[in-house]
Amino acid sequence: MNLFFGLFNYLVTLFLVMFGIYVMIARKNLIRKIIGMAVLQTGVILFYITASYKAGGGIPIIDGHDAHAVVDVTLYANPLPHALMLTAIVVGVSTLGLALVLVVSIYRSTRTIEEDEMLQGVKRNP
Amino acid sequence: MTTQQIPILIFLIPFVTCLIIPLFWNNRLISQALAAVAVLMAALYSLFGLLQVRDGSYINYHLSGWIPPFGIEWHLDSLSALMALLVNLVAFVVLVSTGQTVDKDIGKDPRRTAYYMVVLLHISGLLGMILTHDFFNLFVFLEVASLTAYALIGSGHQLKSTVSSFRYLLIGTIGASFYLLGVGYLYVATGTLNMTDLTMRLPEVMASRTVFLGALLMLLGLAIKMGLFPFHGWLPDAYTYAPDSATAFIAPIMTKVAIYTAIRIFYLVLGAPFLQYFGLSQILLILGTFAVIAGSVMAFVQKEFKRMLAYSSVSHIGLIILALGLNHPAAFMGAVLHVIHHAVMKTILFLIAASAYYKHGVHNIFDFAKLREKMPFTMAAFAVTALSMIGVPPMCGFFSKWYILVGSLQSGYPGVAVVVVGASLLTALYFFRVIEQAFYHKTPAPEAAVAEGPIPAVVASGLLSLVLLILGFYAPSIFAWGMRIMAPGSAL
Repeated sequence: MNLFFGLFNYLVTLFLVMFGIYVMIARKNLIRKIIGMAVLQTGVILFYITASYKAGGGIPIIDGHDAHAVVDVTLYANPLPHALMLTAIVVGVSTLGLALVLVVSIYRSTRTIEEDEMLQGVKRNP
Repeated sequence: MTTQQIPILIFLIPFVTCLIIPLFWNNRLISQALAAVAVLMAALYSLFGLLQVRDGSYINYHLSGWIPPFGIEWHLDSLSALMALLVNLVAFVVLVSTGQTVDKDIGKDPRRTAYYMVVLLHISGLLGMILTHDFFNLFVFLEVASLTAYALIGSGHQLKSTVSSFRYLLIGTIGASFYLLGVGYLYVATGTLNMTDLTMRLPEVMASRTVFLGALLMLLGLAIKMGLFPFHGWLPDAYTYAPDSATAFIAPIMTKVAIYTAIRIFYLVLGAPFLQYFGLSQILLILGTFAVIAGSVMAFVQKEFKRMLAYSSVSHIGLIILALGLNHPAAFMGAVLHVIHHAVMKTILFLIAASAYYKHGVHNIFDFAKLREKMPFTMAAFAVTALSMIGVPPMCGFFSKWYILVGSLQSGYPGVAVVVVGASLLTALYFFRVIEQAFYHKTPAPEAAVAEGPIPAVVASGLLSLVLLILGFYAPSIFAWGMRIMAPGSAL
């Protein structure tokens, strides 16, 4: 039980990654595929955020202006993964934007966002 | 100028030029010339950097002055300088020789200006992947290069190119996410993202399963990006349906840079002892062997020329990965040489595919019979390149395969040597199919009117097929140089 609650976030990460890939493979609707992609990326982001979590740790801003005081690292959460994940979110947003552009372009040509109908449209009008 | 800034300059020249191009709206020649001059300058800087580091030294550049491991570090050594030179030269040749093809495939402005911007952004992304020495920075550039590649593949008028671009986007994003997850595992285990720092900290955590799983996830992500056999699903469609000029960009260098990244991470950062500790090299060996066989067999049954070239790429990527899996210095250098040689050969072949389609609308290999009379120079370049792909001795394709063969025999895998030779024979089979059509097929009514493709493309493919001979001539000396300073276990 302790294993379950202690590693709960990692289990959620695992679930999100697997679920995202499942949705990308199994769903025929292109928008759902894109949602699956976003879920997958969110899973990875959750992994980094969980790894940087520290019980009782605060934001890493040193109080006061006493630069020479000894900094107790146990009081602060690791800020690096947060910064990395901001960048990863930006990358994810651009991927999402490009994917939606492509879906709009496919919709304009075939009038559908269902994969099987889209493939028939490709056969009719390459 | 000090030599310290070379790594960042190689990247900044194409990147800044990408932002200058829209100022010259509505003029293809100026955009094309700007892009070509930018990559040529970047190539000259790479050459200058290569001359600086040819003795095995390296140049580090710290972004905004932050000392690593806190800041991002860029690293130029002999291997990355060589790859940067290769990418820039291939990009230069393709940019110069595809002007008219771009007019036809992409269409009028503003699409054309945007095309050149995306091309330069793609090259900047690839150069960033090559030069960075930071795992997360590498992820960002991997995504920059991939996103621009999706855009280039989807830039054609055909619906098929959009669909294949969308498919590539979904698969590529899975790859990038796996890579990012792998970086996360390594970060959790070692607390660093800097590659040099990670190499130093690795011995303490060598036996940890976290590091192994991280390396495995990174391998999975990079395998998707490089189109290694079971993960190559996006590659044939993307290469076949992309506009010809975009294929000539993406096909030779994108997958090669992903392979370079794998070489950098697994051989120069994690190191050969790590690979052997968990048997990762066996995994590479098995994957490579399957890829060689499957790619060659699939190439043999294709009717479309570009699709055949795409499966040929799958097979040769497998050959490179197989050589890396041997974990032997000679095979390693053979793999590096094959990355270079294969990139040049694929550039020629895709340029030929582009001009054949541009001038005569030919993309089926059974229509090549009518091209011999009409495009004699292009077909001659094709014959030379095909011989090099097969591995006929004076050409460069022979030497890289030879060193892989030597490596496999010396490291005690005679079975792998059989696979390498068998792959060459299969390559001969599927290229002789096209050569047979082009040269030994009687055309019913010989139309002697010569109608070559765009002149720059003809000149480029002709000159590059001479370069194949020159590369073949210098391959042994490059090999000896690389064995001295580049191969793992040497003083790098």
